[in-house]
Amino acid sequence: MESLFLLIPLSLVLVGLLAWILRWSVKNGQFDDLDGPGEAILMDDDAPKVGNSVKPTQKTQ
Amino acid sequence: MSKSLNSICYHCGSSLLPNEAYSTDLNGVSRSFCCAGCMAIAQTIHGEGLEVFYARRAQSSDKPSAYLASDQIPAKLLPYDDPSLLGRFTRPVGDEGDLETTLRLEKIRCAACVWLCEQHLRRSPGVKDVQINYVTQKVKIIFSPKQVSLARLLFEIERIGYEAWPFEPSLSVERSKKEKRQLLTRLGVALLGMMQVMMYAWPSYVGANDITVEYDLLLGWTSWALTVPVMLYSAGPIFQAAWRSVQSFKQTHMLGMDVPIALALALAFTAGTINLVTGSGQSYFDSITMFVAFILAARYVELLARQDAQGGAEALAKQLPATCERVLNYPQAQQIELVPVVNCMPGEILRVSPGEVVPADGMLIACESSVDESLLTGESKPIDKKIGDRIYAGTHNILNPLIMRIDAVGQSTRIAGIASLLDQALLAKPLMVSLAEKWAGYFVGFLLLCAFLSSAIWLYIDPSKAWTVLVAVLVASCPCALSLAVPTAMAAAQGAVTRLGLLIVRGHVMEGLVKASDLVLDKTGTLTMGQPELKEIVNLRSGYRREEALALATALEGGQRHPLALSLLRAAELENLSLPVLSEPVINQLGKGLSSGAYRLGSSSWIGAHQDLQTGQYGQVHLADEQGLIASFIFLDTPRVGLQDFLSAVRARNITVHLVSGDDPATVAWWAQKVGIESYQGGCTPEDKYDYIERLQSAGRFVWAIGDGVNDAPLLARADISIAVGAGAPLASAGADAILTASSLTPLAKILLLADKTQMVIKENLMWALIYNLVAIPAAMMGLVNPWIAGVGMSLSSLAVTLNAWRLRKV
Repeated sequence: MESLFLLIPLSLVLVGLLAWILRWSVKNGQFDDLDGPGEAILMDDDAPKVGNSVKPTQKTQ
Repeated sequence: MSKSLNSICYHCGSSLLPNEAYSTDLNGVSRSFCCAGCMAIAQTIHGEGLEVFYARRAQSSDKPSAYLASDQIPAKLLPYDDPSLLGRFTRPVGDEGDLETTLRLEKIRCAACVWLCEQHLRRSPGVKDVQINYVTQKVKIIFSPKQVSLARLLFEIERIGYEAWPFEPSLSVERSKKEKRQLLTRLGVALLGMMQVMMYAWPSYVGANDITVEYDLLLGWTSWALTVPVMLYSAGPIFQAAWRSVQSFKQTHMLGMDVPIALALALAFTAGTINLVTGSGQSYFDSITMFVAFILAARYVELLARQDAQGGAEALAKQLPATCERVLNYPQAQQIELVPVVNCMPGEILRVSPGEVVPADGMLIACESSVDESLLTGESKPIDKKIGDRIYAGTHNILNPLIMRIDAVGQSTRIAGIASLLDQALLAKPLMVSLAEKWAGYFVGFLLLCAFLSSAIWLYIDPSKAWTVLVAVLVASCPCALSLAVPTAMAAAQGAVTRLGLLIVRGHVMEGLVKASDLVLDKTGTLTMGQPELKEIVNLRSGYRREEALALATALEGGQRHPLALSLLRAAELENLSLPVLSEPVINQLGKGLSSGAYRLGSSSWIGAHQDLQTGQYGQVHLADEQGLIASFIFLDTPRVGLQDFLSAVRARNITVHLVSGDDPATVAWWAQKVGIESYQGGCTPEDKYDYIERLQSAGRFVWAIGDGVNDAPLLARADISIAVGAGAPLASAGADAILTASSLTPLAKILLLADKTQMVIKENLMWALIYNLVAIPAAMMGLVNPWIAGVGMSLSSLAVTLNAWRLRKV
């Protein structure tokens, strides 16, 4: 049980670290657009399958 | 893809006429297009390997301009590279001379559109970084001016079927961004504190009585250390607002909601700290952090909805073109140069081509034309302008290229005046005290009374316990269910309403719909589509078939932009008529009509035909040759789809309907009679409409308004709740509380029912929170509340409230 004297202050440090990370990510604009990146990653997944094979032939009009 | 898709345009989805289709081979499949512009866009998209867009998009795209077929930056975009405009819209960034610009994207309809724009821009040479915000539809681009220009970027966006215009970041935008980020950080700190403090409080929840004193102290002081930042940083604005409210009590005689909240927080924190120091009693830190976290969460949701609302200034910029054609050395040389509108001065001469928006107020000095003023005045028919007539910024020129002298630009134009009236109206808008606020006010008052009363009673029985009971009552009452009751119901209802086609901008719409006692409707563009349709052909000369007359008239009108001409073209297209070839060129005689050889098509006075004076008609034109009248075409404005459903739903709720329009009184009266509206007023200016609403409001009515034009903007802003029709003017949307994205009015009838249901759910939720508190508070007053019972009860009541609100998502 003595370990609590170390672990609990340690958890305080962790919370402090989390708060700092939160502040950094808010300032960095990570929360400004919550929908776009989620949708974008779905779209990017499909692209190589269809895109790669046909790309060169379509450059000519 | 099936073959049937080939009968519609692959890009814009409009139906194809068999002889007019363009087709090309994309990825080995032959695709058909309605125009060269659509084909060019699809080729660009496929050429970059981005064709997954077509599979993913939610809606088909809009029809683009024809000039996209060539890879040339159109002249109207070139002035953006003029140093005066470039300096306004770009900012230098980094050491390598790169520029940063913010553009606002138009015609974005789904996530696939955002993705396409981002991918396409990234593939352009010279573009260093692209960031698109899906929510605000703004894109931030960092580019190297040596390799690519601003005009090129704008054109690249047009090339894939969208539009963009440079956006000047204003102070208010920066401020609201800062406000949002700050509140989010405060909320995050409160949530972190809440989680951690609850974890430390867990031993006392599970009732472990065997905790020794030193561990109890350790847990207590760590909780205290985490509660301090939550109190000082997260709850700081609450204390400030409470203090301001107390200071201004003498003037307002009202205490804000923040006062009891701040009082409860301060009391609980002081009591907890005293208990911690003396080593007896509860610490309450878990309740404090949780309370703060939930209050901030509710405020954050509210802030998000509020910030979606668009300011009048931004909408005004969207309404007017950025560039115009200035005529130099008028009237001798008449050279034309394209310049940014901001560089124009009163007294200068402009040319406005047909189909373009007039950029400034002025006077017509040459080339008579007719303009569509419907967005500005509500007048449904195009107005013929003679030399010396006033021309207003924001109106559409539809007939001939006109030459005008500028009287006013920018802030002194008529349209800017309406925009400032709109901002004024938003300030004067009566604040609706929402149901939840009212209940919360009563609830907090009741709570304070209970707390002080019980502590006073305990002072007689056992003075040592009075302080503990006071705090126990304040804290044990569950604030979570109360603070979640309204936001959860609103969020669920908003999701459902958006799917029906109504975009809520300001939060009180659902509640306001239930309260509405009067509905004020605009005519042109709202009640009707503002677009004439051919209703019937009369006075047909014997020997002529109906189709022949229509085909002949359509051939005469070919290439005209007048609304009546367009509706004739549509009618002919619908019946698949092949048009006769006219032997002689068509001559346009302004104010009279068109002629080609012996054939004449035009107004009744010019043709000499007898006009049936049926009011309410959009108009009529007559076709004649040397032997006299061949046929008369009668046009009617079309009512908006779903109008009858909507009106009967409104009448069923005993809402009085008013029709207030800028169109001429006779037409307004005719329409009011046709759809069965008893109170109506025609020929209204924007100021008249504003007064109309004000009169209703001062008579104690709760006014709901629907409109679409610039002239409706002040009315929409002033009404208690307002809905703008989506396809209308951006300025109208700026003043409205919600925007109807569906083209039919039927969803509004459903939304009315949903509003009732939302109100029910909010009431149930509040009732539940109240019942919970009615049980918990007396228990706390008697000193019976056990921490873990309170914890379980709190979670269960919050869960019940959330699940109840969830029912609204199913429509």
